[in-house]
Amino acid sequence: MSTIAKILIVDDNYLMRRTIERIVHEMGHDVVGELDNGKHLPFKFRELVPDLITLDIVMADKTGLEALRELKDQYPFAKVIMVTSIGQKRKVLEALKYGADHFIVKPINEEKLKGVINRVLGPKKAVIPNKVQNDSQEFTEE
Amino acid sequence: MERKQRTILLVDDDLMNLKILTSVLGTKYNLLVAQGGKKALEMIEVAKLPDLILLDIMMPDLDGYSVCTLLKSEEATKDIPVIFISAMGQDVDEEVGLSLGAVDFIKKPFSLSIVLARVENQLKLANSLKELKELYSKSTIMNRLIKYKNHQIEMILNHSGEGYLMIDPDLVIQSEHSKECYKIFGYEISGKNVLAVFSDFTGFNRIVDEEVFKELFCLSNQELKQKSDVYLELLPDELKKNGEIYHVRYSVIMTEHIGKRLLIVLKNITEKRQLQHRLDVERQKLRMIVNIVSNVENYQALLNNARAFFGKTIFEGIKKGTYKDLLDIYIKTHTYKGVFGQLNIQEVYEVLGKLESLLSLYQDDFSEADSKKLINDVQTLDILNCLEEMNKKVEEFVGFETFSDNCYNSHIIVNRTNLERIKNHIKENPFIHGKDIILSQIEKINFKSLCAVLRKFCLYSKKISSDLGKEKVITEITGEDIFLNPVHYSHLMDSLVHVFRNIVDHGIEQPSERYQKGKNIAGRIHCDVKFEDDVVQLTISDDGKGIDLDDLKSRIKTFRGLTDDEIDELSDEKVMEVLFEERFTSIKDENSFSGGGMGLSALKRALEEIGGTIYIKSEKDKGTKFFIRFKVKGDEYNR
Repeated sequence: MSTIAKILIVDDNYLMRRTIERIVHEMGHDVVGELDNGKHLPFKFRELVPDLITLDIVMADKTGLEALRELKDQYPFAKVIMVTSIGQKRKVLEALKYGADHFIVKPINEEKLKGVINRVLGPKKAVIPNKVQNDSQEFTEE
Repeated sequence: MERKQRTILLVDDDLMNLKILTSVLGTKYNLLVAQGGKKALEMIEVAKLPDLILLDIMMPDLDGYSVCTLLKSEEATKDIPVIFISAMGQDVDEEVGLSLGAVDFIKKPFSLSIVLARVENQLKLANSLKELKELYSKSTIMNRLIKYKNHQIEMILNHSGEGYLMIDPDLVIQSEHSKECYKIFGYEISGKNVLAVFSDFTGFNRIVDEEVFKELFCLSNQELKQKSDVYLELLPDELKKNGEIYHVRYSVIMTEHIGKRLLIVLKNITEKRQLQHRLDVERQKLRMIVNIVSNVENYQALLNNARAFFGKTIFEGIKKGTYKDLLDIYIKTHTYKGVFGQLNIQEVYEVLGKLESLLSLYQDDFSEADSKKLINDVQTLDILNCLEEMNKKVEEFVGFETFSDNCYNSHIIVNRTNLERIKNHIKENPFIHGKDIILSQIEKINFKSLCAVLRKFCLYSKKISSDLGKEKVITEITGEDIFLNPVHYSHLMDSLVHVFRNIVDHGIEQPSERYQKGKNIAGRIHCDVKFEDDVVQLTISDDGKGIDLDDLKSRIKTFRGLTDDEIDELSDEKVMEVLFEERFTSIKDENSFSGGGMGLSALKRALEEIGGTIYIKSEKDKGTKFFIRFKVKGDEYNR
């Protein structure tokens, strides 16, 4: 069953990376890598071939928008969810123009992020919540 | 063959003429032939209506003009084209003929080919006319249908209570919008720019939202299908104007005929929000009241101490003008804040927070000049007033008489940790004699007053009686108080709540019923505590409707499946005992306050744990008495 997706988290905030990782794990997906900046995003993409990237829109050294642009220039099919703060609508709009697939506003609402991830991954990789629970139960029982 | 479907009526008194016309027209059309005007009218009445009539004018029985006039006056025949064919060749004749409604006039002698051509022309014309008419009537029906459907849709939209409006790619509001829009915007919005219309709404960002709108309309149909909802999430989902709050939904519409449109739906949720807010406030108030009621002794003492402290002590302290005194005040304020916070007394908690931050402004260089300013600042906070306001609210809610009891003033609040410390001191001090007695006496400080517990439940009864739409019950506690060790007796004391619940819920009647019975409309609950020879006798009685023994018996019958004889054999006490059985319920409809039969059984079990008993005596319409008896061990109580 190929319902487990490989996810790359790009965020300069450690706590945010942990939060997203926890949610992604709860959904039964794998975090295959994380970056605290957008510098080598295309390179990492080539290396890990993730099914989905969560990309912080504002980071210290390089903005998420630049990284997104570079990535989409080389890999237009890459699926990207932008992570943004309140009041960054304009940046989100720009990201959508560059080809970002969706966005999520911080502070992250767990259910919302799960919905967005499922939506972007599409029906093939979307995880039915119950299924995840059952699987994890089986796992803990063993 | 096809043409032969059409029928022509030939009318002439001259047989020769008829023969000639028949020979020419007969090959192309079905023919009906009438020799004379009367004959023609008869034929029209019985046969299928002809598509055209060739009509001679001069006929002996009925002339052509009369025939034509008659035909044109009849609804069924008025549309049949008539061509006069006549030897009366004057222009006047032709004029008369045409004025009667004929479509053409052929003069005798005629050329056959011209007759044929004119007939064919008129038939064509008539056919076109017919088609046109049909088309017209069809379109009239369609129009009517569309109008009806439009009206229906309009009705639904107008009565949905939501503001529906639609914008085109130029961001112009379309004329189709619901009535509610007028209420929301206060003016006619069709034809206006959506940005202008929303510009005075809070939550709408003219610059960014314009970009979103424009981006959205720039997307291809394919992109729209895939991603429109992502873009729509960027638009505000809540807008405010003039104190009204609107929830906003968007939907992209794509149709072949009108192209892309964005539907915007506004729903006024102000009331819902206000209700939510009111509920939150009520919930918070209830939490506060419950906390206060369950800690009523502490509350009264706390209130009195706080009154003294914030009314007097604090100002005396500040006047002294030293930082040490200020620090002392700060710590006390902080403690008070914590205690009021625990009791969920929001207003006082907040004002003390303000005081705290005010005090924290000063450092150890606190001077006399500062003290004057600080006194002023503290006075403006008006903490005393805040305390009184809050207390007023509490008293209104629980009933004024609750706090008028002076007995609370004789209580002191003892900190549990302090008590433990004192106990440890005594234990560790080798010079104290009779430690066991002293320690057991200290232990007794922890004991809970039975009367205080009863008082708490009396308050609770007042509250739930008014919640149930009954008059607030009058309560009374008599006898002597006894202090019991909570370790052994707290279960029992907690379980007593079920007696009160049962009384208020099932015993006390509705005010109207009590009035009819000649009782005081407020029910009465009386608790009496007696203590003799280590036995506590607690009697809780009400003046309600009592227990209907016959009804109870019939319920037991079904509950246990007993026969009539078996039921009759049961004594009244035995019947009452069933009330303490688990899962037996004596009421018809269960509600949130009691029912399910678990309450009284829980009390009985709590009593059994300490070797106590309970029985009920009840008299119809006079009331019910609960007799509770239990023995207390010497070191488990204090008088």
